[in-house]
Amino acid sequence: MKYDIILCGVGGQGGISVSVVIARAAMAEGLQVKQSEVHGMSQRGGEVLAHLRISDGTIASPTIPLGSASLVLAFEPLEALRYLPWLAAGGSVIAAAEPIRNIADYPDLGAIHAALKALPRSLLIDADRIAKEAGNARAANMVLVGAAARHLPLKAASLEAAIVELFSRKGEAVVAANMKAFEAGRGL
Amino acid sequence: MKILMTGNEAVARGALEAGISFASAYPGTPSTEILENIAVYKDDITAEWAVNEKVALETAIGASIAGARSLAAMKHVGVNVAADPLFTFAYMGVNGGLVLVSADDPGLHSSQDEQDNRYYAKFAKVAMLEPSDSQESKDMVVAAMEISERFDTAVLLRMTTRLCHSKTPVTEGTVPARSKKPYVKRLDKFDSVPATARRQHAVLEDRLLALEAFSNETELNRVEWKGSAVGVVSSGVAYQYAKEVFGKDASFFKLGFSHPLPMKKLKEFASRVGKLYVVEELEPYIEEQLKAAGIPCVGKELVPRLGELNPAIVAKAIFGTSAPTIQVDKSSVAERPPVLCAGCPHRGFFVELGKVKGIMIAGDIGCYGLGGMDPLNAKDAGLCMGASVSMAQGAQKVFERFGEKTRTVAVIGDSTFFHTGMNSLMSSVYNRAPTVTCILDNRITAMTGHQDNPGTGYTLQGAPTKEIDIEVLVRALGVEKARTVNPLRLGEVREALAWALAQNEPAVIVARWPCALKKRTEAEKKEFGALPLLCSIDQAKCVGCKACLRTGCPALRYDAKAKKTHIDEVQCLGCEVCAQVCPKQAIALVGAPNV
Repeated sequence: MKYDIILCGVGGQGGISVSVVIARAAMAEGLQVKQSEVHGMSQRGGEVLAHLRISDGTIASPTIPLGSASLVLAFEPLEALRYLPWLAAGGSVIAAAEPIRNIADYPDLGAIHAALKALPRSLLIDADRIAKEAGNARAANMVLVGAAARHLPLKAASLEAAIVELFSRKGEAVVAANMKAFEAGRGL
Repeated sequence: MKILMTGNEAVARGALEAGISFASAYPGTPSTEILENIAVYKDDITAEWAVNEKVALETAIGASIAGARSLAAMKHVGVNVAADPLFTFAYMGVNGGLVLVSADDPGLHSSQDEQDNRYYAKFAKVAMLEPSDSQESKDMVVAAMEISERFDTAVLLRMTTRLCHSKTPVTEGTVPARSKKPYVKRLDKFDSVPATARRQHAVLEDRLLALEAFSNETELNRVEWKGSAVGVVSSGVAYQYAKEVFGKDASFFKLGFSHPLPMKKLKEFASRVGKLYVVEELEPYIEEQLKAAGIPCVGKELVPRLGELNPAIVAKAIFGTSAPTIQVDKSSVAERPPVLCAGCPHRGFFVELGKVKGIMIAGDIGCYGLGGMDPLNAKDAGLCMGASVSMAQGAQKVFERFGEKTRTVAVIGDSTFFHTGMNSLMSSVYNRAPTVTCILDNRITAMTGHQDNPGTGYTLQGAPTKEIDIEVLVRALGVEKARTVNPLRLGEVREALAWALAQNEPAVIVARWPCALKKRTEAEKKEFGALPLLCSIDQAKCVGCKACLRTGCPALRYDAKAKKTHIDEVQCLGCEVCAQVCPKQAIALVGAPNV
């Protein structure tokens, strides 16, 4: 088994937390994991990209080759579109529908949504709205983890344990809000 | 139990397990997190930010001479700055072991060049190790210390961005109690006068022979035999890409100890395989040496010399194969280039500087390098750390000599000024160059992620320390015309620039305001106020003239249908730069946002 995930979004969206949750869950199940991210300028509103590779065998490269990701998990629709060349034939796209318009020439959102919906296996999610309804606007990233849960080769319980572990030092309320967002995502 | 660590975290853990007691660095992507993670081990390691990479290596060398195991870390171009002590220390050898970590940046993720620092090991004649994942990054720091003390040599640990910032599993080892060798005065070893160095050069050449013999024996260089058809020589993260691409069908020579190369072992490997490939990132460092030794191999005629490799690039280069991909129309995916943040104190300064006519602006390395982009356009040249001030000096001298009226302005940040800018400014004073040096003091080393520096009042390990006053410093360097301004008050900046350009001697403007992303200390809240604040645009007054958009603030949004601009409340920090350029006075501070 090997499962390659491209995580993409805009700086400050919590993409790295998602990577940590999935990676820890995979480690807890005894799987091999490699994760690679590009930082440096993402704090200044640039795109954030992490490659996450999970396998029951040896993983060599920390980065995913073009055309071979099992899943593109995007926190922003334009970023989902940008990283489609990494998707394998038969791979899935799960993307937040709400745009981050921190650039002057943000393309037509309708066209972006249409391009994503036209893919054979794609899911667009109102992650911000669902997170707000779940009680924490900042937990949109965990809604996406929830939505990805049934695609990932991991047990939901492993992901839940990783969420608890990651947020435990921020207190029970934060853990509960993130868990609720995760559950809301799973229900989609 | 295995723990996921970045390569940088693993190097830090390696420093702990290798018995290192002193570590120093100047921040620089992708190396910065090495010292940040070492700094946590306060009980075992003294960790410091140096003012530049030369100082970082020299303090580590001092620690080594005193008998402690030491480490210096820097990005690839930082080794250029530290090259002076590196080359001569190679002659001296060590007392306590010393490892120099060079973090190269293939692909220029965040750098001004993509030089291949493996050549430094060969040029300076020191041993080199090249890890290919986090486990090796940790283990090789330990190995480097043993090699350093056994062979009396500095060791270059060569990392790359992909290793530094990739998380792979690591099994931790034991942590030894700290100890140091006794300090013994050794003028014959640690004083690089010609008579000593002449003798030491011969010792160094013998040492390289001993290191090559070790290179042929060590398990750091290993053969993974999978048959005689195809052989691949590789090192670093390129080894991982090659493993993925060649799969199970090729034999590998995996280099971990790559200077001096294990030529005997490599020749033997080459003689056993039908076709030999070298897969390496950037320059043909291995390939050139194999070919010089008469070993036929295929390398850079197939594998790109430019940029970062990945499995797809290696597969295409070697086998001409590529996976089918979904084609995305490039015009439909707008780029998100890095921009000065909303509320960035540099913006106000650049709004005014960009309007001044008849000047050449020399920029420097830091966030303020972004001031050269549209719409601010306040930069003519940018080279390397500290170069703004000296380039401005040279250009000014030539403009004067040829009777041209062009004036030169240098733009440099606080940390970059401490790094090497202050030497240049002293040179401008000494040589009577009437340049204008603008020190954009945002109270932190910002671009690399907020590291302390001599201007912030804190050390790397959190101790309060002397805070260097930049205006006092420049006056001490001999600048008589110096003043400090608030860069967010455009009138103040405009007036200061006019005043500085009217001088016939070196002038300095210190623009003092904290980075918009910096968590303000209590003292800073007192001096600069608390954030965030919020500006708002009165839509009735806005005429859609876009004057505010020419500040390049990412919090401003133009609605083409309504022909009005509004402000994104989430991003705005209330710096009021846009309010000052609005010809209709439509923008005003409305207090703190409702968040």
